[in-house]
Amino acid sequence: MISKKSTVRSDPSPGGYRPYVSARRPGGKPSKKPGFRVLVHRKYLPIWNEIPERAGLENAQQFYDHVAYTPGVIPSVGSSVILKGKAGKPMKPGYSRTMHYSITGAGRINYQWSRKAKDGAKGDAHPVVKILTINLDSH
Amino acid sequence: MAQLLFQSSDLQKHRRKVLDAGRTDEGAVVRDTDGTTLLLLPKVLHDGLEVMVEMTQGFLVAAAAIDRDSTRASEFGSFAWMVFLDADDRKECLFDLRDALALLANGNRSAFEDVLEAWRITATELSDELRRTVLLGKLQDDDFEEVDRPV
Repeated sequence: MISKKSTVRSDPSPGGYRPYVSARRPGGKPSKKPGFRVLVHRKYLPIWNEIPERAGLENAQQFYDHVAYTPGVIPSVGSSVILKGKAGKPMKPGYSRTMHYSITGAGRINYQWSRKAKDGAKGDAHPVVKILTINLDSH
Repeated sequence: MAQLLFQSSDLQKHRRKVLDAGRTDEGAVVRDTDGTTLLLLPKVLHDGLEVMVEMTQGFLVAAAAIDRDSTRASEFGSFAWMVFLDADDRKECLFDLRDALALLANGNRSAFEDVLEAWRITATELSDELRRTVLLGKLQDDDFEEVDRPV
C-alpha cells in the first residue's frame, strides 16, 4: 500500500530549478469570484466589444462589476431604473424585471438577472445576468 | 390653519406678520386699495403648483390621443414619447401617471418624477426596432453568449 505522504511532491532542493511549479497570478488573487455569469445577447456582442473604446474602460469595468456582483441593487456609479410595461417583464420565471443601467453620459444597457437560472440541457441552477440590449448613442 | 387676510397698509405697518403668514402653506392674502387680492406663497409651493398644472395638461392631452388611437407623436403633446408604447402599455402608463399625479398633488414631486422618468425611458428604449424586438420578443437560451470582464 502506498502511503498518502508518498504521493505528495516535495520541493526540490533549495535553489534548484523548478520547471513544473506554476507561477503566481500577477497582482495576486482576484478579491472575490464573480457571483453571476454575465451573458450578452448575440445581436449586441459587437456593441459590447465597443464599450471600452466608446464609453471608457473604467466605465465598462464598473458596469461589469456591478452586474457580476450586485445586479439587483442601485449602482454606486451611474444610475438604474426598472423598465415599465411589457419591456420590463421577466423573460422566464425566476428572472428579475428588466433593469436599465445608464453609464454616465455614455450609454444605456438593459439586463435581467436570476439567482437560480436553469438554462441549457444540464439545467443546473446558477446565478446569471443576461444583457438584452446596449445603446451607446448619446442623448 | 386658515388663510390670513391683510390690507395693503399692513405691508408697512405689520410687514413681519405678513411675511410670516406668507411663509406658511396657506399663504397670506393681501387686499390692494382697488380691491384686488394678492396671494403671498413660498416659491417652492408655487413651483409645485405650476408643475402640477403642466403635468395635468400633458396627461389630459395624452389621454385624449390614446382615446383616438393616435399614431402621431405630436398629438401626445409633452408626452410625445408615448407613441412608442403599444396600446396595452399606453393604458398602463396612463394608470401609473394618474396615480403619480395624485402623489404630486400631495407634494410628492420626486415620486411623480420617478414614475414619469421610468415610462419615458421605457418608451425611448422601444423607439429602436432592434431593441424593441429583443425587449418584447421571446428569448431563447442560445440567444446569449458568456462574456468576460472588459480589459
